[in-house]
Amino acid sequence: MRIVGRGGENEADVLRRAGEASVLILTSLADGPKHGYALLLDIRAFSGLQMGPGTLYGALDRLERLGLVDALPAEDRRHPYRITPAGAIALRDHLDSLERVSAVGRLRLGLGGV
Amino acid sequence: MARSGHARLVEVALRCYSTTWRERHAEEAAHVAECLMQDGLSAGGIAWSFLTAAARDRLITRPKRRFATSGAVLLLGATLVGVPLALLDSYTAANAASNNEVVVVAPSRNTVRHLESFFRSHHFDIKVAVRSSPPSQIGSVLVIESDPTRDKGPLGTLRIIRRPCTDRVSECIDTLAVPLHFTGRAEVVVGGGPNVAENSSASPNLQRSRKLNNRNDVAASRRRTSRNL
Repeated sequence: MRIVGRGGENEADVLRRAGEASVLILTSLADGPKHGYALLLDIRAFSGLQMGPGTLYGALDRLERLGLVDALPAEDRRHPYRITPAGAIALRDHLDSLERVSAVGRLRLGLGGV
Repeated sequence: MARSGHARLVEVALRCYSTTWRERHAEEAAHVAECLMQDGLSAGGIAWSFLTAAARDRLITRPKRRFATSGAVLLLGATLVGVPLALLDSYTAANAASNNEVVVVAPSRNTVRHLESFFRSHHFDIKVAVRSSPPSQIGSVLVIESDPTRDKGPLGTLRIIRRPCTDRVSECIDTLAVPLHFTGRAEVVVGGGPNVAENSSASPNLQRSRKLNNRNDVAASRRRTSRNL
């Protein structure tokens, strides 16, 4: 049983529906704006995943529609993207939620005790 | 395939997107594809990634409309079957295959009531007490005291995870797992407002063991003081 009392915490976790690519992108943008290629390199570096460019732009499009990322003015042929304050909150909520799942998993594996 | 041939393949894939998408992203996407090909990724793989994403982009209906519709249907469904809306945010994390009931606590004004009703419905011998606490700990589980006189087999042991409280300084208990056939006895202490009188319906054993602990603490503190003197 989960006791939720922070006024619809689950609804706040918009990334739950947005997919893993969105989470990886927001995580990458959390330390500053990046353009598409830089995002792919960074994601590969911290997660070991080679995200396809189609997946990247699909997710960026979705995140932009949700107001979680902003496109900055184009530099040459590249559009840098940055995380919005709403995006930062959504990412934090999602990471909290993942942490809870991880906590339950750890409990069921038999860690800790009173 | 020559470099121009690779570019052509990607270009064809990008043409599968809607005009709006192309106006917005095509130029940059082509640039990213060039960079990836320079890194050694195959043009076919890149084009395939764009093709599948374009197909998804065209197949997905407008999300606003879809979410609004599904939200309305959910609300109507819940009302029709008589589910109190307040209950929709609670669910059982444990499934039939699990040996524990897992409770994840997010602090709220109703924590005490929720916990009491949960423990009662599962016939767990676990009491809930309220202890005055700073505002940042109201509704949080501060401590769990278990009965030392009971056997501590696997069925009598509660397992917990502590996380920082909302003040990010002190620690609260965020998650607890209770064996489905819990044989122990325990008391869960929840933070209440500063004016809350201690409300403990703990078993006499627990109260005795707590008094004993307090007495031991006092004795230890006296010993420390006299040593310092």
